[in-house]
Amino acid sequence: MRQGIRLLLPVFLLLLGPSVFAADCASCVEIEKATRAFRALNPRSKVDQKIGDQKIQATLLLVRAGLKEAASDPEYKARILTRVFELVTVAGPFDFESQAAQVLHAGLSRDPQAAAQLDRELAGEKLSCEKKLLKSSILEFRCDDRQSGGQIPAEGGSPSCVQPFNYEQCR
Amino acid sequence: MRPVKRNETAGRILQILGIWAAFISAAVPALALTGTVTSRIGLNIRQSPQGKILGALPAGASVTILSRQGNWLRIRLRDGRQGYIWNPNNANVASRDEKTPAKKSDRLSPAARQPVSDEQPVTVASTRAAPSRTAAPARDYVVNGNYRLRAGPGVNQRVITTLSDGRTKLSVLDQNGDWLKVKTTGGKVGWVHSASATEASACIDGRCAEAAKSSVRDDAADILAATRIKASRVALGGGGNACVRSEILRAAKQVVASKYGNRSHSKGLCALGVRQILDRAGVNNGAGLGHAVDYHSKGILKRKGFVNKIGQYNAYNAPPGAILVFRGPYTDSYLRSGRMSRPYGNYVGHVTVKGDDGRYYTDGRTSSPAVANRTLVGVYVPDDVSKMPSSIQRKCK
Repeated sequence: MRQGIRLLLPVFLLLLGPSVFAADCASCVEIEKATRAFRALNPRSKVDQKIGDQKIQATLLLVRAGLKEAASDPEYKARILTRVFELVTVAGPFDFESQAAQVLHAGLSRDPQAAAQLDRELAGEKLSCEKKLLKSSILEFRCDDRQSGGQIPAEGGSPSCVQPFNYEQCR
Repeated sequence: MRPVKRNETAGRILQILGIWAAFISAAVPALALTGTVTSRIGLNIRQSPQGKILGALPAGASVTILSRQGNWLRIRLRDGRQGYIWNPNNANVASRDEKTPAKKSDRLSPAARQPVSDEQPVTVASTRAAPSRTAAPARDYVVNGNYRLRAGPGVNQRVITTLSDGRTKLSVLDQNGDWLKVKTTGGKVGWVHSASATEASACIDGRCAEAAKSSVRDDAADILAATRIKASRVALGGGGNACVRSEILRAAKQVVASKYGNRSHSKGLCALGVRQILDRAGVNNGAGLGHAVDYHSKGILKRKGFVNKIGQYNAYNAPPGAILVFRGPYTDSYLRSGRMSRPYGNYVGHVTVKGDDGRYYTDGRTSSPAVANRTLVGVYVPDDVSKMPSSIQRKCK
């Protein structure tokens, strides 16, 4: 009997996992729901591109809410941030103007600890195309901030900052 | 009896002489005429009117004109071969006597064997007096691409059909401004736009300036004929100065490729990217144009000779080279607050150039206009070239 419980416990926890994790933060349920919705879309489909595009505005609000909650909750900060990063990553192919990445970058620029966590998650060579897309966006925004103190230069920005990553060719 | 017989004989002689004279009068011009091809591109030789193409004559080639069948001329080359060439106007006269030695170009060189369209600005000159060009002649040409055949001259007119096949043959019947009244091989009569067609092909061939010069000519059929027509996937439609649009489109492709590596996503520098495109196209001379929404709200594009055709077009059916301006959801309050540091892309809108390949050119080459959470406030097409810098005026006025 005990052995059976021991065997089933991990399975039970695994099934319960998302809801337990979701309880970590108020915004996590919505973040995970949005993440699942983006995962269900096909970035190659024009129809899905349009659907994904329509979800971007709500995504920006979720990212802001997640970052705000992470900043105010040190205990679950890492978990919340992981979900936020995941949402921005899966939304990336449908976020043609990198708005979610911009919002994320703005939040991380005020929180070095969170920025370090993102760097860890985006470290390594074998990244998915979605993660490469996010990485290129964040790197470009950081580069521009360094170049001009946060202001967009009058003429052209810095050519060295441009990250010519092409998601369509990667996938 | 004798006088009667004499009269009959005299009558017969006169009859024979009349027939002979008629024969001579018909035969002499056919044998004496020599023509010179004045088409810049060349001219097809066909087995019969609208028949199989035998070869092509280069510009300046001399031919002997044997007879005329409507707008077609039966000609003979120096090597004795005969064929038909399209000569609807018979307008450009460059007479030459038959005894004048013919040029080498009369023969069909291997390079000249490639068929060219009969729809070229023609054509063969004749020694006969040129008729007036007041009547619009019927001209044949081939459409390469997708075009909308409309019931009248204008984009608001009912669409009869889409001429999607590149081999669709049309006859130009009439002209009204930028619109041509045409007849398809299936017998459908309607109107197609000429300027956009010229623009698309001119851009692809890199001869936008030539197309611009052509567009001021009075014969729109020549405009169509002078360049191969390649339409984009979207309906090109009308909309402003096609030459400037083609310049913008060409510059957009160059800028996005050279400065942004043809990346698939914009990174919040859309206003900058479009300004670079306008600079490259010669529409802007390096002046700062502000943030994306300023292109519309501060009237920057209007001052530069653009006109907003938002009621006529949307982000998807806008003509290639048009500039789309979107307002962000929080634009007004955010602009008033004065907080203009990054991230501002989602607040102050978006600006992009509509491409001819289903993409949108800004500081990247996106497959979507990204309109979902924005409001389209402007579909700007170039209109008044006199408000633009002199470089683009020289090209497109």
